[in-house]
Amino acid sequence: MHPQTIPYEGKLAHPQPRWVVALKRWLWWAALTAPLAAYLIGFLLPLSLMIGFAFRPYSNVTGFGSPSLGAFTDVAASGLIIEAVINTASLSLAVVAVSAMIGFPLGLQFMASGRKLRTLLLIIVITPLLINAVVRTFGWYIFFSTGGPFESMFGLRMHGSMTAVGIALVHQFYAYMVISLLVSLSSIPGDVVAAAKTLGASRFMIFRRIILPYSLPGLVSGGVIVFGLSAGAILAPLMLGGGTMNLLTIHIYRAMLVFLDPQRGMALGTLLLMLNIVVVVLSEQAVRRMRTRSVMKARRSDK
Amino acid sequence: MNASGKTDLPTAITSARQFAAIGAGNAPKGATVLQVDGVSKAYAEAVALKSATFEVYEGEILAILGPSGSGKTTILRLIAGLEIPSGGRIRLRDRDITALTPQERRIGVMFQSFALFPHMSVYDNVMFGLKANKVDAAEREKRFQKYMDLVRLSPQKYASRFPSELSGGQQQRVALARALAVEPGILLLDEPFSSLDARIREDMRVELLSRLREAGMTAVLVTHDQTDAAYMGDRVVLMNDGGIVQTGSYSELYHAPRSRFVGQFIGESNWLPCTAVDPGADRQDGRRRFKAAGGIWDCALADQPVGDDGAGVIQIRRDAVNDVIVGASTATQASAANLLTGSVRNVNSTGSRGIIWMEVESAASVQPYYVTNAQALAIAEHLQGGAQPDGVTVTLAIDPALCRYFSDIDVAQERL
Repeated sequence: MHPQTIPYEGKLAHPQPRWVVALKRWLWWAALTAPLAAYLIGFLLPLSLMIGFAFRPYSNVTGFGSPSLGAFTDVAASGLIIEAVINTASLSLAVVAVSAMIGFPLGLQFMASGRKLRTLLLIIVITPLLINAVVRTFGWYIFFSTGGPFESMFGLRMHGSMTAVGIALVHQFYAYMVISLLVSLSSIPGDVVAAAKTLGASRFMIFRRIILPYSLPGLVSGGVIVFGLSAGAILAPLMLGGGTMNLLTIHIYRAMLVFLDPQRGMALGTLLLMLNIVVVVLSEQAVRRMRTRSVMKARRSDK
Repeated sequence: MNASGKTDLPTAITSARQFAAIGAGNAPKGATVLQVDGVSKAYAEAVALKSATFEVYEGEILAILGPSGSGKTTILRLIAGLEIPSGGRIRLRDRDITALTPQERRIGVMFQSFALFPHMSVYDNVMFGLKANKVDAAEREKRFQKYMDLVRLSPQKYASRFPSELSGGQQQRVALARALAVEPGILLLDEPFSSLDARIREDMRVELLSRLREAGMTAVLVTHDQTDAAYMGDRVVLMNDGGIVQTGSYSELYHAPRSRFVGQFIGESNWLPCTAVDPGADRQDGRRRFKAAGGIWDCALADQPVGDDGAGVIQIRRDAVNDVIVGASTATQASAANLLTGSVRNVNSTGSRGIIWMEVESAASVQPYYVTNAQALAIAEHLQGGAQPDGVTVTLAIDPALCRYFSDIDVAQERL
């Protein structure tokens, strides 16, 4: 065809040959195969095994028994376990709350800082994530140990207390809250805060009426991450609580490794999973409600 | 005044003082509201604002005009208290506010983006400042009504709307109502029209000006657009490169520019390199004679001495064309001054007037001149629908009152 006679129909003048299109489509699915397989083998399979084992009694002698709800009815009937669920939830919520209380001032300071101070703050926040968990928790173990620095300074016995575990967990996970909040905080237009100042708003009013509504999505997503990590943490409760804390992870640890009762361990694991799912769903709904009310409007009016 | 009680208006004015008086006729020159005294701002990397000094009078609208990076927004942020000056004092009425926080200053700001709180309704936006200032509930409601009325938005209809549900013009009105509701000592407007559609910009200029006059508000307007400054500014502070270049009414800046930058930034001009015919000689009318583009030019002088060699540039306003002659200037005409001969390459019309694009000897690029539509049509007919690739030779008779000589050559080179 002569170039001048090609009609323009809003498409490429030279369509790709069919086999090229087919190859491209095939490559697309091929590229997806690896992550898909990793997801199936690395995540869905263990998860289904866990839930599966929770319904099948196992003995070293007789092997798997017939499926039963035994482990779940045991767990549900146990006041100790119900208390462990409440303990786990409230400990994790406290860790989330304290992380947010640290995260907000840190995030706001970060936003107001120059490049050098920002780098320093980021290093401080990230460091706990870069240190080996056992080493870091051992540091807290020494700090809170009987006759250790904290006890000799304040005369308070912290070892074996929920507070000590909480402090170690905040140290371990607050970085996720800070990073999540930073994303939200950086979406606040500078002019909006400046406008509030020129209208005479106090710092508290600016925080409550502008910064807080803007950073709710970040607060909630950071909260979900920190909650999940805290509820599933085993190292801090083991090392700082002396293995006697009434927390779900401790019960799972004992069922699996001390009493060699995988069915009970798996059932408790399923319970922990459900706790996390409840938190995710509730906060997802909360965010959606707040989003439709406010933040989506904010996004739409941003030019 | 004549017998019929009407005033016969004069048809022409000439002195710079008269031009200066045009803009100043709008606002009563009352007491000084804001005094910016030697205020400067330096960052670690650069100086954003050299020492700036100016006053704003009661009821006046002062326009701070300049290209981007000239320091005009820095001045605004310093007045509002959003930045701390490196030197100088700022006084609002009889109060030194240099060290006060933005909250303590009671200065209203309308931001370029309007900066409405996107998660709050119009009502909550306007109420925000009133609550922050602990205005009591009854008074708050009254103010909401009053200022929504002032900006011509129905309080009932718009109270529950969110900023995202408003047009750009409506958002600006809400921003104005919000800033005025706290009844600030002075209102700062940062590029108020730049986030608006070009089409409604004109209307909003007229509207904003009427609203400010109605409220009797003293205002400082920051803009990069000379039309904004010309329309709204009783006086204009022209800035460049972190410093104030000239202060005066817009017409004063237009007709009596003190430097090449002012001549370039205000109005639309073409430039011709020139040499003085007789550097020492002064003419009676204050003009001087120069040689440029193969002709003789009589020009007014900007407040600058003619250099030893008389080299410089002539500024010709694009609308300075008195007459158009098709063809080169004849022998008799050649002795006359201020004739510009060139080749017209392109003709067009803006509707109200014609534009001709002319290639002129010694000018680096083709220069646009404004002519009448009739003149443009006549030249277009000579062009014969592109049949004359070298254009049509045309001689323009230029109004000597709109020609001005500048000696600062180094600045001139960049635009020739």
